[in-house]
Amino acid sequence: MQQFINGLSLGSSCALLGVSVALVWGVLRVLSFAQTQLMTWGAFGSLLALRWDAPVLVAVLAGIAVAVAISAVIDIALFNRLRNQQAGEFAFVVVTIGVAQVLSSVAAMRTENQAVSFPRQGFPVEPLTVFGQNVPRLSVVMMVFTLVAMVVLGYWLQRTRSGMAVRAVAFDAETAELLGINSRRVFATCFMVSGGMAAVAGIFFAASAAQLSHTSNDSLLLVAFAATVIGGLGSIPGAVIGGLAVGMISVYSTVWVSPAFREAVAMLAILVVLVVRPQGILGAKATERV
Amino acid sequence: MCPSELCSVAAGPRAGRTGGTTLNRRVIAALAASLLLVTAACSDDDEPEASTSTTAGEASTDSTAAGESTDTTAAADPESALPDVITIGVPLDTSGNPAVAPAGLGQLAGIELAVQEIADTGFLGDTEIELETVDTQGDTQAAVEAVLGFVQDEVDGVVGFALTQSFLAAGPELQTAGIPTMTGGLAAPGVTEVGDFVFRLFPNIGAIAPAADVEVAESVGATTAAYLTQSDVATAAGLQPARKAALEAAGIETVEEQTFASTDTDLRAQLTAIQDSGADVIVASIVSGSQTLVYLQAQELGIDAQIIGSAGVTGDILSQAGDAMQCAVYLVPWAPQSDDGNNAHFLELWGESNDTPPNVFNAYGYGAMWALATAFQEAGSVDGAAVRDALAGLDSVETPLGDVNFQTDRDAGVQGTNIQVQDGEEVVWDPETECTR
Repeated sequence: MQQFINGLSLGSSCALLGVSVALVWGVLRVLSFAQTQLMTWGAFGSLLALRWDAPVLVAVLAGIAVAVAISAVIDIALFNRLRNQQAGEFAFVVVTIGVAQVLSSVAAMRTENQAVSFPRQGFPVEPLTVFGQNVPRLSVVMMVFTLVAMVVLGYWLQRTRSGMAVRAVAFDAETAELLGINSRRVFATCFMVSGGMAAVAGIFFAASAAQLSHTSNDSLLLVAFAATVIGGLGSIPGAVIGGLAVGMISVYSTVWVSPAFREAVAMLAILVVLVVRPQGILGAKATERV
Repeated sequence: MCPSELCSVAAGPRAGRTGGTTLNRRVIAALAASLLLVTAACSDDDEPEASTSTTAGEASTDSTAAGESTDTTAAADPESALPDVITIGVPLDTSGNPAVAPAGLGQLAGIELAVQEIADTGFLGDTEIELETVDTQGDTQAAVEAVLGFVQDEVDGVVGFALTQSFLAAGPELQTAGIPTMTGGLAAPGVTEVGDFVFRLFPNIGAIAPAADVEVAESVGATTAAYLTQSDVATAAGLQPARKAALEAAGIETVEEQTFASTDTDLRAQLTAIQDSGADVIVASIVSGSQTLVYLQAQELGIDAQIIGSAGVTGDILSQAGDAMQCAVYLVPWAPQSDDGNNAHFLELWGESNDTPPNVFNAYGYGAMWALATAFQEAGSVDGAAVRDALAGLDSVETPLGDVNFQTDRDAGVQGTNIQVQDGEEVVWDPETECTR
């Protein structure tokens, strides 16, 4: 039972990052390697606020603001230019790899490659005891946040005018432009929302570990991709389900197989999903327009 | 139209041209300014002075001129044939994996403190020590490249290394070139076996920790043990079998073994398996950067078995882990509470130029540099064989780790001290003292 809870706990973290990746993929068609650095920088932003004795909520908002700002810079300064030059998808991926390297290097330089303390005071870090099992309260909060984010994103995308604009741009940006939708704003908005969500995940991770470094979240990139592939690339609920699945797979492969094979088993799961259902659990089948 | 599944934003192929081309430079400038503000805040409050480190292959030098002698601690031998400059190669992992970098950075600070003191006291007369520091980035290949650079530059000695696997790959080059090498922070076995030019100040933890583990386990009446090992670090991975063998020889049954990698951030699955095993003691072979994670997540899961940890606990770790480390015991090769060797002098000297207390890495960096400098003085030359023989023949060198010599297998033979965390403080472990969590 405790391992099941561990799986949910790890899965909720993966899910939140997975949603972040799914949003970028769904709209921008970019597999972003910069998401884990947005997590890290969001956490550093939060750390800065905490060092200035800001309340936890303010610190979380500060972290989100930092990640959103970085996302905006990336989109305006880089992605937008690539879009204007009609660059291929691979160019976007390479750019995100480069951005991730730069962000990591700057953080490494500023922290002298050391892990810095991340204050946990004010965060819900005490464990809950439910039916004799220890449930990390922070993971519960993260799970609730992830579910709320999924619902809010769903409502936004399906029920609001701006969400419809996002969907229209995701489907065909050129046509959306002809219909009067500012696709540039839509792309920027989605990337910033995605960055903000990554920041929340990064802050939760830092609070959980009580420390933060420029490489803290690097190992999660593969996990996030796995979550989005299993759930269905671009599907927000799929990313949540995929994240939870990856968490469970990681935990049970650690216990039943070996910690050394944890990532290998997760990748095997991706292979199985891709073979059996290439579009993922909730992904839509790709359609070709003629 | 847009895909039909709820909330999915995946859709058709990405469109080509999108939107205008004019960038809002003011927006970018404002956002960039905010990022700069954050980068300024990313660093620790107690930012040390600029490091002399460079990446592998880009060695730089940092010389500390031997100043006027301020006392008569060790006047230089007038017959000495020491040159004006002794060049010391310093290969250390000062970047890369944050789990390892603190060891490299800590050693470097200790080495630099020793070099400064050697200069200030005129220990080597007019001879100055020049450090050729290379950041080996926690990478074996970078360590090999660094050592090849030292050989090419004909350095007179080497002090450093923070990762055993890096040393084992690079060390044979030093042996072949006949460069006297004082390893600083290598805790795994096999170091001095590389050859007769290689010496170690930091003990082979695998040779001394098992006996200490047995003592702690027996003090709590343990009959079963579980093991958690950081399997991608040679020091930790090499230590675990020796600890397990010693405890099993003492009749303490192994009930669970779990491993993790330095990049793992969630160890709950491993810790739950250990918890479910019902082990009386948990033996954690872990390095500095992972200590906080292990203790915090163990506490989160309600694990109350006695944890026998590993060296490398710093003030930051104690602060980060808080009461999660209460009652944890671990063997340290150096303890600030010790009055062995010249520890009191080291603490005082360190305190003169640092606001934070020293850690074990600082201590053995300082001790290793002094040991090598003493050998140069004894040898009176920089001839590799002469310095090697001087090191091997040293009778008693004062270091923060105690008065040491290298006459047995070129190993200083430091025995270490069992430390227990009580109410956030490190105290010398006393089996008669009850610790409550």
